[in-house]
Amino acid sequence: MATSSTRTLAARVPDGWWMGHARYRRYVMFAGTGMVLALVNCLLLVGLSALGSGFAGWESYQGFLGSPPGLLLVVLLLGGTVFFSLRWLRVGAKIPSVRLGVIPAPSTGMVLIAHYAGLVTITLVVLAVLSGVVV
Amino acid sequence: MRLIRLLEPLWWILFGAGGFAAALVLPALLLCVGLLFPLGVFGEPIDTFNRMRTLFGNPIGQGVLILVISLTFWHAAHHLRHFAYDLGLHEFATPVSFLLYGGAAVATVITVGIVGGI
Repeated sequence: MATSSTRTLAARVPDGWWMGHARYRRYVMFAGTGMVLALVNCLLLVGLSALGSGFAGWESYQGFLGSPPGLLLVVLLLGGTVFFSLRWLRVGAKIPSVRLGVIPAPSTGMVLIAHYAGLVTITLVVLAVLSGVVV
Repeated sequence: MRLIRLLEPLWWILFGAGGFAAALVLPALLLCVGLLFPLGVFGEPIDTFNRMRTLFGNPIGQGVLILVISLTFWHAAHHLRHFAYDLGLHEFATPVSFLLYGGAAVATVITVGIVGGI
């Protein structure tokens, strides 16, 4: 496809951007979850590094997470992660589905239910595995 | 910036895959490691230590962890890049892109190193 070399102006910033309306605030919060996810990853990597270093490291890491500052940090990060998760799955359900042979394209509602079912199933599997019930 | 634009499909693939990996796996992983383990819901620290070492001390468990964590980093980098544009940082598109994608690449290497060392 040929592309034009004509320079165009950037889109006009909408009135009230970026905290003027509830929709904008939710959008900004969702975009900000990129930072939350990166922090969650860092927290997990510190724990995995402690796990690799031996029991003393793991105990110390768990001790920090069990302290009031650690618990506050995890609760805040967990809130941000759940917000991201629910919104991502809701936004993802709006991606147009395609027909597969004789199988008709599912409705947005069906896709959304499938996404949430996937989240519940994977959460239960992870809980079962990490709790020691399975494996 | 040409390289960044050339690789745009790759950034979007990593963004999409990382978004679903993070949305589906990260809440439960953080809930267990960050809250239920320290509160003792799933046993003493020595129990969770042995369980985690068993689960993630092998190539399959390590592969899953590396995939979830590194894809989440790439997702976050792409999301924050476009958020930077939304905040009007178009003029800094090149340094912002290299900083974020470079950060994700470094984080991926660190993830492989840490998880591989379990």
